[in-house]
Amino acid sequence: MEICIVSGKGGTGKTTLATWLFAYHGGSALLDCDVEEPNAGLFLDVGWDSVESVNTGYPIIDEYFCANCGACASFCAFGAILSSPKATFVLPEMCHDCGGCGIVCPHGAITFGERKTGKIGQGVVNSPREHGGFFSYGELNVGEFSGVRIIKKLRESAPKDRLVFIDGPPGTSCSAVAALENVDYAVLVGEPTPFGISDMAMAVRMIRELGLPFGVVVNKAGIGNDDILDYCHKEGLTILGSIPFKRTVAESMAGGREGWLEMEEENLQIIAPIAEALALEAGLSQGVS
Amino acid sequence: MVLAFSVKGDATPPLLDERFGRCEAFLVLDSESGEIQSRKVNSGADASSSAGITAVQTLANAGVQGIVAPHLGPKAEDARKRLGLRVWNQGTHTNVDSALEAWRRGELEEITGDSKPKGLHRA
Amino acid sequence: MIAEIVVISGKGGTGKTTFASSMFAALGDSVLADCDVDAPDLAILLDPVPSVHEAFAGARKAWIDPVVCRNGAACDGLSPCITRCRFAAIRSDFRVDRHCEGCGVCFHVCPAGAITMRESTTGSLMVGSTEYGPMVHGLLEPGEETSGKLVSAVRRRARREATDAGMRFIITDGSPGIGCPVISSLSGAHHVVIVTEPSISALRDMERLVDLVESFHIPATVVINKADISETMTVRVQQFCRSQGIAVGMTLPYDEQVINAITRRTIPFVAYPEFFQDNGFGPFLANLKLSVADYLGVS
Repeated sequence: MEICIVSGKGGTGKTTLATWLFAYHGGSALLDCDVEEPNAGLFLDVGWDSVESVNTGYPIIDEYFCANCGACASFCAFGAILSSPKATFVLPEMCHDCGGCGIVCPHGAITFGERKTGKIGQGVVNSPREHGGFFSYGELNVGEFSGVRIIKKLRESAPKDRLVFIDGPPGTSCSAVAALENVDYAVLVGEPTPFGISDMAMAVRMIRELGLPFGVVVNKAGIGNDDILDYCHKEGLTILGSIPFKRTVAESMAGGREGWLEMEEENLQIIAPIAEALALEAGLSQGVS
Repeated sequence: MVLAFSVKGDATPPLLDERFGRCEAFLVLDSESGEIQSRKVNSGADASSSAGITAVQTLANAGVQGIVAPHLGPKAEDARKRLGLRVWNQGTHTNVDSALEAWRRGELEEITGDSKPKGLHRA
Repeated sequence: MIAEIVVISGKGGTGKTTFASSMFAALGDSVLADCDVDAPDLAILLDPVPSVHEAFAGARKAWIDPVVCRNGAACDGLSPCITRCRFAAIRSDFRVDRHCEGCGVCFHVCPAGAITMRESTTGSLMVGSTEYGPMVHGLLEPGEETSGKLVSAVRRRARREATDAGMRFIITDGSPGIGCPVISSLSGAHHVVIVTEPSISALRDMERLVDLVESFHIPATVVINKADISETMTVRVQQFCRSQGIAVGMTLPYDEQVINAITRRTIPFVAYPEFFQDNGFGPFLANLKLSVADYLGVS
């Protein structure tokens, strides 16, 4: 079973919730799909099995055959090829790897090479709690335009034999969709502020368009007001639970793994009712599209 | 030579834009006769990054051989060099007529070397 | 010349939008551009009176005419569109789904001419007036890919509004992360303000963000928000900034009254100016103006 945690707004506590749920379920799997800013690993002690680069293709123009006809540059929808009667050249980082230039070239001048767009690491988690679970993360190279390819690879290599938590990216862009697609259940983390509610509404739309069952966790409960509860009731959303705002929680998460371990028992006590509610809801929803 | 200028607004003579990649439009003319071949609205101005590269390609497609422009960013400068377009800096000229006159008299500086980025300032 | 100051954060939730709104109210003489197009929140605080609302056609998508295609009969079931599509965007019933990136390969290979590339509306762009000046914001449809283009469109419109209104500054609220929409907000900006917080996640994210900002050669200043959450981490953030030669322009403690202001949908600087003034907002803004003038080469 795959459960994806998303938030709409950044900084609401998505990674916090994902890592706590992962810690609660010993032996489970966690995929950090926030490939622009992967942070879940900062809270875990991982024995790494592998770190591999993720590649993408780009066209290589053979000057011997190229007649500078410009057909490839005209075709390219992404501005990755420039051409004039004097020269034709490629901007690899703009290329979406669609293969079209190779198809339209009348002179057979185009072949394809590979370049790195990011990386994926995976390993076994030693702590917290002698977890023994599986952790993988993806990281997009700075300057690349999209992490979707990396997210897809992460999901393809997820273990199939256990509970999988997916720490999704913030927002509602194609990256968030790639993390959410086809999961069994989604958890939407919201915060009780006007920004939190507004961004939550967009995430609700995205999850509904994907046809996924989902529930809400209200994080930092106590700041702001109760508008978020009104919103959830109005929309008929399932609330799995809430995590109260406590400076001590913020302070412990600020410190990374050490901070987490200091507060481990307390954090797990907070997460227990939410984890149980999630198990009930997700279990009930299994098999329902 | 087929020459292009970055322009804005609809004054006569046309005003030069202070930007290249995100300028309003390009004016393409024959440098000898001064005859205007086309005025192209710069649709590449909305490109998410380096609109200058898109601009260079647009001009290459229009058969432009030389550009009279404000400062070109490093990517646009690299693109125009590789595509074989020449570029002159428009200096302090504010309209096409005065810039074209200066170009004819060889008064404009032709950019031939690498464009130097300004470096990371410390605020 | 109009100077554009872009406010970004790397990690979400550091207070970027809150800070940008306060800069807008305090600086004056500016247009506000909300480029966090996944989650544009500034309108909540600024309550703009809308004057323009345009559909934004950000992408081309392939469209297969079912009448010509006849469920693959037109190509005898060979369906080169499906086999050649690198994004698995064409379903077995020859409908194009959301994965389409608009490359045009299917259009090119269809032997029956059943496919056309159509502009698709991927979001909207809005212009409005607020108490502190004009505001432009963009909203991207959930699941869409073209955030970079919409960000460019918002910035371009903001520049036009600033020119028309004779404003000297544009304050751009950027997206979190380091991807396409952030890249799109940096190109051509004159100064970057990075709003961060003292947590290991935010520091990690800022390291990656600084890499990106440096590649654009734009001057940057850091603001450390909620600094008292972790003194240790605040020191680490300061050390990192020092090692990169980036000034920390302001350090703000966590203050409930800021959240209260947001909850009341008020700009924190307006509701609670002492908080900002006591923490050096005046000198921060003055330094910003000096740096921008210096970068633009004007006095």
